[in-house]
Amino acid sequence: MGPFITEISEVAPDPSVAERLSGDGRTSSSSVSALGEDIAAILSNIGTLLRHTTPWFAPWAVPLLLIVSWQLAAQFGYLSSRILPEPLAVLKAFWNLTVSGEIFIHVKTSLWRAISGFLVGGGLGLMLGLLTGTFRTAETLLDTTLQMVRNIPALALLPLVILWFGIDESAKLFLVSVGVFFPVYLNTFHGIRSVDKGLIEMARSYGLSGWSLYRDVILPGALPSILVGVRFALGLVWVLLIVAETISAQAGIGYMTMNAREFLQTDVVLVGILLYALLGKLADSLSRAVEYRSLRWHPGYQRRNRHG
Amino acid sequence: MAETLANSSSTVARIAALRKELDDDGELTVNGRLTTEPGGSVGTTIDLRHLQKSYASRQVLKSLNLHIAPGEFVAVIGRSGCGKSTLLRLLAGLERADAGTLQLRNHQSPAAIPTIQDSGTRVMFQDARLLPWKTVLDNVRLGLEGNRHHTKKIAEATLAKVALADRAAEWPSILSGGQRQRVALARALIHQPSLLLLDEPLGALDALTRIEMQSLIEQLWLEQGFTAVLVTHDVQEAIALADRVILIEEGQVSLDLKVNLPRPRARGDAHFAELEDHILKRVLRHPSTLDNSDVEGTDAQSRLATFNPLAWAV
Repeated sequence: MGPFITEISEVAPDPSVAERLSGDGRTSSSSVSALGEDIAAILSNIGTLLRHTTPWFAPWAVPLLLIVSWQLAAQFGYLSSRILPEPLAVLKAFWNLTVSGEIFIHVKTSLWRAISGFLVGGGLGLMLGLLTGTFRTAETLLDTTLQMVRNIPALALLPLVILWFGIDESAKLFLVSVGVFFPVYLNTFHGIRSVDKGLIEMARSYGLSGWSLYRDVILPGALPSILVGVRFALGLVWVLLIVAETISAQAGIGYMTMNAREFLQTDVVLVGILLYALLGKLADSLSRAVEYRSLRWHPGYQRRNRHG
Repeated sequence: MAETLANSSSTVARIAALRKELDDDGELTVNGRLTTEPGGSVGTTIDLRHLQKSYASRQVLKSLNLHIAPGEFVAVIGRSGCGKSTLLRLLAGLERADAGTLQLRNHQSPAAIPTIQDSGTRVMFQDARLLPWKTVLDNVRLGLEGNRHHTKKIAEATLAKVALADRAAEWPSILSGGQRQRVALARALIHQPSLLLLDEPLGALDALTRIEMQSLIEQLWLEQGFTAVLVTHDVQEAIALADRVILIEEGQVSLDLKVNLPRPRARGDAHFAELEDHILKRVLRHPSTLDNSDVEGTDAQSRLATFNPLAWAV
């Protein structure tokens, strides 16, 4: 019996907890004669318990279930540790890496690459998107070129990138930037173009023009679309980073996993994968927070805010 | 709905009180109409001669002539596609005429002003066109120059005029349709326009809210004395608000009728109903007992002589 089994039995039908949560006192004081009623009451209490815990528990239910079955499969010998180590071993590897301090070096290196790549690529995408979105001339001149380049997978440039930049940091920065550039560029361009023409007309007739028109009407109108691009780009950063770091590196999460593979340390490989997942989730939450902050006016975000 | 009704009574009460007050800018609030006073009018004079406008080979306005006196409230009616909205867009400077002259004059610029920017013209659109990312207050002070503290005070005072002072900090998306149009009205009035153009601003509102908005617009017009041009397809609304009802057909003014009913106008009034019926029949090209000849354009004035038996028509 693993520790997860006992945990499950704790979550389930503890009537006293359920009673406290449900708040109605008509439960477990029952006699033997009212057994059916009692079971029904307990079931309804589980329902109440689930309802009470759902907001924070529900998103984690499936991952938890997967980990439990994984642990069980490993313990009963269905899974060889060379294919997939048990979760406990992964935790142990994580702990060891933390104690030795090695993990921090890798995470720091990867984070720096992700952030700088995102800033360079995203910043360029934003600037060019604003440019082509605002000026027809810029669109005529640049858009066709950019659309052609967009259709080249960033990773197909890998051989050239290695030739151009060698295998050091600039190569990784380039790869991440190129990949991040296009979602931000496209969504910025689209956002600017899809700003309500009626609003622009109104603003002009109310005396707004130039920068004030841009600041008060066009930019805020394009913001929801720009943020979609940013969120998409943040997801892409990690994908590109994995590839960039597995080619050649002296540090970074990708380097750590590649290195571990050489020595068949599947647990360390898994630690690396989980780190990517966590950092990805972190980036997503961050961009969501930015969205909620800057799109408070948007009806779609207000509803969530009021309940949450 | 209950909320709207509650608002309507408070609006009327509030405006009644406000009518006696001085404006926040230090300028005189117009109590009653200024149009009768020579030289002191704040409204724009409009002169249109042989105005033409075409869209892709379709001629929307053919040689349109129209004179609107300062401070006058003119309603423009007509079937959809007759060119009434085009006329408004030309007046607003959102589009340019192909031929003819368009002159707007007000007390700030007595000489004719060919371009409309900063001419004191403000538009209220069919949809409120509030910026969803700005609060109600910031929407109202859109385009207002000056330091933020000062403009905030003016915006608050203007919002109070449309009885929305307590909603200043909210986002437009949670307001009702009528409230949004009231914010749009406040946004237009804050610039103290000499010409207010209304492009079917009440078309999308329910009947009760519409009546409430009509009386609000009437009150503020009486208070401030600007020239108002209202484009509408609602004949009743046109008669309820306007000094003159103008019918546009086939790109020309085909009916120009003075409405001499006392304000505020009761919709149940017999003269009101008679006039409404007459105009409706005219719009629908029904043969009217009062209107034997099909009068076009400038003949409208002479045709009006046939209305003499009726007390309400000049």
